[in-house]
Amino acid sequence: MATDDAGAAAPAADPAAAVDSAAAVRSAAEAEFDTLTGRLGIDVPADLKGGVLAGYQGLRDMAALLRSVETDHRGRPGGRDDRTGNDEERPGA
Amino acid sequence: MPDMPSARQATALHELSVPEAGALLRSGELTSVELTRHALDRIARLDPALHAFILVTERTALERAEAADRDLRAGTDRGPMHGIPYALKDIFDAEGVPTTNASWLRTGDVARTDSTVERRLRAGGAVGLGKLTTFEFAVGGPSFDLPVPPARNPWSEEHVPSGSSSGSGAAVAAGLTRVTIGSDTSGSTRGPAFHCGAVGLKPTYGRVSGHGAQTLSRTLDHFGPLTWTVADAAAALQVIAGADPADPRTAGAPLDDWTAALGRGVAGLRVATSPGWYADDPLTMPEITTGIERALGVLGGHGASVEEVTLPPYDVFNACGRVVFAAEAFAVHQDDLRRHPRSFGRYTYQRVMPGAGIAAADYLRAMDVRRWLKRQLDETVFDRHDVLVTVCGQTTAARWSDFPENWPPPKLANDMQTIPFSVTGHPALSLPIGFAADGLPIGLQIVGRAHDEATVFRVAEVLEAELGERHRRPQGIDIDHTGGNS
Repeated sequence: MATDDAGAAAPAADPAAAVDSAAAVRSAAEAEFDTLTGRLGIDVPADLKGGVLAGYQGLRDMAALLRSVETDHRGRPGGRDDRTGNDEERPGA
Repeated sequence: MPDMPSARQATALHELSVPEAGALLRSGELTSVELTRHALDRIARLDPALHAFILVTERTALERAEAADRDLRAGTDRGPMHGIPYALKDIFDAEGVPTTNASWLRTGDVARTDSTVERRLRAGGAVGLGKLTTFEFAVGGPSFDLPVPPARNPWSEEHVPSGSSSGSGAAVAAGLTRVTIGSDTSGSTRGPAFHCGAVGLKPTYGRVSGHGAQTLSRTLDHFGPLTWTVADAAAALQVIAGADPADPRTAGAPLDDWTAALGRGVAGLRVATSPGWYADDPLTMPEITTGIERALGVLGGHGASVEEVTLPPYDVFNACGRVVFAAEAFAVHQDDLRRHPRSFGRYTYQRVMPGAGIAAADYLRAMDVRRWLKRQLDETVFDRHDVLVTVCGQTTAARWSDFPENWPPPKLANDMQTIPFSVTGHPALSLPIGFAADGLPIGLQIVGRAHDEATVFRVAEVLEAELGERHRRPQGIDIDHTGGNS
């Protein structure tokens, strides 16, 4: 497969605590996702929701990882970009 | 002394490379009609079991082949793909032909104009055979709930061909056509090339226009050839590349003569390698690690220097690509997700819908990290090296049984390390380098500087000659697979 959006959970020292913690994270992610999709007027069919939430939880973890990466773009004043042109559209440029 | 057989006599027509077939077409020893009929015959015989094609345009293919022959007889040579059959992943428009995206949502959509890729191939005298199976909208998965069955891996009925350009991989490996054009957003050309034992090129971002092709992720989508050999890929890229006013993403970088770049060898090239991403990962098959080491030895033997580099963590590249991909794919499909959720395949819905939850700040953060990663890759690798040779897939093709009812499948079935170069936009080529102990193809990935596909092709050609096993085709596909096994 050419794609990978599964977020693999790390093994925990205390399995029971890990189950509780994972359930809490899942519940928070589900509530958050329901709010967001409700705002967009989207009802996720119940039988599809498990796969959707698994993907959403993975994305949450990845977004958190990206927020933690130290890059020299942090603190750019006033949202001003150091790029010229639209290289967001041209990452290979 | 008896006459030596010509290349035409000694080789089955589907085993002629694009340059070899082109030479015979130009010398008059072969006609495009013969070449096209051979391809159509193989499709008719083998595709009922492979499901690589969604649509075969037999009549127009033969008309275009006749026109190609007439042109050559009249002295008009339209370039390296003149008279050569090819097929398009069914996300590209071709005038008068349905573009289904393998989706119930697009059934019956007939293209009114050509995509730029199709227009260039048509103008280049190439012969379109039809449309190839894809994962739905180039994203879903190997699904059985779509209007068309999933393509099969010609090397094994038990294994998937990967995706999303699944029909492209299957068609090329089975010798139905030498050249297909696919799309690659996070690895969708390189993945099926890897798992089907073919060559898959993701050119530099913007090299090939996406005008008239289904968008999946506007800043990650790349379009390029999936072929049997490196020379085939160079010929196809020569025709489809170039700036396009209809697609503002296309770069104004000058086009190289990629077919002329072949044969120049690798002496003096500086090759970087990055085993830190895969060598100690238990998911990586030992044959792949040793295959890459063998390839580096080949390059060293041909006069290249090889140096190990340390790249930024793979997980950061992956997270960056996944967040951008999710947000952009959701933006493309949000109306249908809201109005017609049941019209998507199950996997497609479950893969695209999570993007609804990406905050604008997280998307923009991912784009900042993306620029940083590109700079890191340039400074770590391309300021001092000409190419990076690294892993493509970590295991051979996944089994059908690895895929559960709901997305995602286990990590075993998600083994590609292709997304970093989708994130950075550098050209990356998936090259076959032999077979694992399970009999399935393995390969590696060659990454070049932005707009330097020529050097990628040079490295790939040398490795292909020593490791590529281009003489070896899937066994047993030449028998009549009536009925398939879906």
